[in-house]
Amino acid sequence: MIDELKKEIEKVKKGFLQEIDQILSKEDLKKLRDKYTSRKNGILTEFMHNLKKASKELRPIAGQTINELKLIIEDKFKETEKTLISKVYGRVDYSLPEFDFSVGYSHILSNILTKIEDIFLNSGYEIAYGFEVESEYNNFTALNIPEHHPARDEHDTFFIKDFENTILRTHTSPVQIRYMNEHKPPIKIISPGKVFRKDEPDATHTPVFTQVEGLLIDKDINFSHLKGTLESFIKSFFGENINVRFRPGYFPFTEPSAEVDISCFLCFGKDQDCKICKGTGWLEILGSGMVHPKVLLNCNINPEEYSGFAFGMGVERIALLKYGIPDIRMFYENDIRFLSQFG
Amino acid sequence: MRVNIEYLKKFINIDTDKLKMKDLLASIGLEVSELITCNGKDIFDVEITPNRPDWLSHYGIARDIHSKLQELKFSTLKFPEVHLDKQNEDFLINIEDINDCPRYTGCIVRDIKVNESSKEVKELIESFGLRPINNIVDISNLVLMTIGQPIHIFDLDKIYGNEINVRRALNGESLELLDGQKISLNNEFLVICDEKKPVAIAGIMGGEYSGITFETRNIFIESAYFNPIIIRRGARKLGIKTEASYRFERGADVLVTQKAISFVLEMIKKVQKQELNITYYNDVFKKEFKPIFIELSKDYPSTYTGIEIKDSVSEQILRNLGFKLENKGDKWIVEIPSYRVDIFNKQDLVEEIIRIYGYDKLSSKLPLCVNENLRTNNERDLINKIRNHLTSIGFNEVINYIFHSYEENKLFSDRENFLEIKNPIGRDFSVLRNSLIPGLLKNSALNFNSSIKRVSLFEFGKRFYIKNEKIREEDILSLSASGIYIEPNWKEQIEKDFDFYIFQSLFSTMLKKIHVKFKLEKDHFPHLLDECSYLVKIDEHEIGYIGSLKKEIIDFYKIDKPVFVVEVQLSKISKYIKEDSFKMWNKFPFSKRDFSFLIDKNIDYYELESVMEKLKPAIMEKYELFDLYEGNKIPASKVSFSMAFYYRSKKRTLTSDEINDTHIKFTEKLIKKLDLIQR
Repeated sequence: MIDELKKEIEKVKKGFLQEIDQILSKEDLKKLRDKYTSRKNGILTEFMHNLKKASKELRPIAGQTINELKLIIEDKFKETEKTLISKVYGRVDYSLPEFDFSVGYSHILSNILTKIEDIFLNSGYEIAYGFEVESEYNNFTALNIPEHHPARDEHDTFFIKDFENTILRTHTSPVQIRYMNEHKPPIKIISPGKVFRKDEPDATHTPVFTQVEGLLIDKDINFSHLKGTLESFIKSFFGENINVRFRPGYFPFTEPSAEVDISCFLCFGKDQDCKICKGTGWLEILGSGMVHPKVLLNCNINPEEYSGFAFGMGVERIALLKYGIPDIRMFYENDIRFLSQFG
Repeated sequence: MRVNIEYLKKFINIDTDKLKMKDLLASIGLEVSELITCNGKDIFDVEITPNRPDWLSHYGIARDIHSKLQELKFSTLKFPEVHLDKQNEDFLINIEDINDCPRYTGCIVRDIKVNESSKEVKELIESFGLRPINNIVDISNLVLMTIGQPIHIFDLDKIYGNEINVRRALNGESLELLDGQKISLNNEFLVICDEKKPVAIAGIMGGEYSGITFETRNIFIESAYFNPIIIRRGARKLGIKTEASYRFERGADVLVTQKAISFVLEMIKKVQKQELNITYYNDVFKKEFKPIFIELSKDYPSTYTGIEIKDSVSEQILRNLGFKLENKGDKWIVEIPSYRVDIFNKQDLVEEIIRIYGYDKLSSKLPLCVNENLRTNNERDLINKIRNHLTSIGFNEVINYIFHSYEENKLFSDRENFLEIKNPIGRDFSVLRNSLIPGLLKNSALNFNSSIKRVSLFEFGKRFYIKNEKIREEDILSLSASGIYIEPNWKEQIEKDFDFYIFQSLFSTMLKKIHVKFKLEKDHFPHLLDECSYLVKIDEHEIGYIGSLKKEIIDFYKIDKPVFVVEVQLSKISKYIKEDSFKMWNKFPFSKRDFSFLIDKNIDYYELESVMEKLKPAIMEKYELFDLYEGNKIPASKVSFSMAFYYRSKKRTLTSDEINDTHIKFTEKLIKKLDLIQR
């Protein structure tokens, strides 16, 4: 009788161990636990129930045997719970597609701006912000662009109704004017932000775009300092292997002025039909120059005592070149298929 | 400007391939935007910066190339000697205001024949991007492209009376231009008139009537200098840009008018193949030209560029460019030539020197400038923190234009305090946005159209409005969410749309990062559903609003799902932000007691919360709502809450009895106070 019971228990144990090995999920584990240990109709419960029918001599031994099994089962459950991971078809198929949990992306223009800002922050530049609606004085006149100056043609300007001499800034230079009026040199700032030109949106124009401008004013600042500063920025941003070329340019608020080109990072001047540099080997990326003495005077800084440089770049242009984006409007359409390509 | 390479070689013996020449021009500030061939000749389209009208001629460009490449042979332009002292014809040139027209040189030639130009001249004119007209007009254009001086030639017989008047137009006067358009004039325009009427708009375009035709026999040649501002204003008003106005508005060379006429006469003589019958000549130059003198320290070019430039180098460059230098010990007195209207100070001179010496010779140095003003930018830190958080919980950052249509702004405001653009690019771009939500909605519609199921977006940007007649510009953060929040996957077929509670909770995670708790207060907003329209407050301060958009708004943007939005002011968030701080947590064990009850629907959770806060025993640490039921198992006026209360002492382990006791006392008070029914 006792042997029979022991045999039966051994059978249950074997069956259990086989079953628990197949367990895949927490839910299945719970089902199995119920099957064996449920107070209503668990297998062990039934064994215990049947014990009542057994003889007095047998009962203690049988009870002990069943309890041993119960302990084994419970231990096994605890152990299995610890190592339980979601298995499918009795195994982990690591190659199944991961769940498509939502993740958001910061805008490509924010990413580039942040990278530019970080480079200058690390060199001790402060970030200065300003207003998007500005006075004509801060945007033009103070910057040595008087009314009827032909350079105003190049800044097609939005005017604000009912407010005289009020416009949407065409560059972030007014931030520099405000800063110079409020601070004494040494001055070392960058001014990032949106700027506005009256352009119909097309593949190469948007009425809104993003600029970062920089300004440094101190004693004994010279043109070679500007070149060194921009070269160092460009190598940080685009890479050590990028060459920089300074060319004479014209901005009313700088003298001398320089256009800054970088060597084409796609073909390095080796492809006559290069998509981005069109075979020239150079990409125009920055405008810069020594701050015009009139601009300093307009901000109550003595040009005989101080000198400085300023530079500016378009963030969209950098992004267009860097990633070969075909249409500038894409930055402002905000199609997630576009946004999600730039983390 | 179109530069014909072959024609350029008349002045400077430059012999190099196109690409090298392009680089050479770039190195002195002339950017070639396009290489063209015209009648088999190489043409450069060169971009001329507005400060350099002296570059608007082949001779001017040759002069700069020569200063760069001194070794090349440079043919200085020799103006022909023409005897211009004859004034045997009774004719007058009157200038109303010498500020409008400082110099006017005129000349009458009689008995000429107008023909077509030779093939050679025609091709040359075409290579400049101009249209050949006849051998007289073509000569004026040739002179223009050679030395940059605009010349206008009139048919003398179409000029009434014996005088030319340079004056402001009278209101009501009109003129039919050479291009056929008839314009009405006013006092802002400077005109060239005969005894009766305007025959040309000075410096911009001639009149049709007095133009040169093949029938013309007698001509009046004009070579003048007009005030750049008047020309610019006039050309802008008319929306006309001509080769003449382009040069005059930037500043022509006041000293060249006479030489230009002699040049014209010489060429006319050549095509007429006979001595010219010049019956009148006059050069009215009443406003004295005073050249600019600039003092330049000899060491300044080196100081300002940061590289050593020898005095002799600076001197040679300036002389080659036509500057006159007087040596005065350690400085020069530099006289600026009349054609360099862009040079006013020593920095301008340094630019000339380094431009020709070569920007490539600049060295790279870093300034040792210490920024005493440098501080952490809290605003930027906050934005970066929020941006990082929102993207990590599935929101995409967008950037939109700041322009809206008037109707759009009206959807978002009861008041019409919008900032309008005087010259918008279109109706849909005519006001500055008063909310960032419309941008998010346009982006949402676009993304739903490309079958994206979850569209949760945010934008940092400015909104604009007028308050007390002043312009307000506010930094704003806006979020929107619409569509599916949780998408089903192969393991779990659960799908969950965004709802107000999910949206609000996601928003609250952002504020948790800066240790800020917000409260909502029912309020009305024109664009939000009345039953889901709230003010967002931090410690009783309004920071923005949150809610679900009205049907007509989402219809307007063609979206067919509920859209939840929140718009808050960044400046306010940064004002109420709480700095990180450390507090030791409680190490004693806690005990939890559940309590389920029915509560009247009129009592909202904020009210329940405030009562609980008042009744809260000292050992109660926190509570949370874990289940909510409304439905037919309970009275319609009631809602069932199940809450968990956590008890813990800061000093000791609590006994089960004392917790039970405290909990029962607390719940009894709560039941009494709010008329709850325990379940």
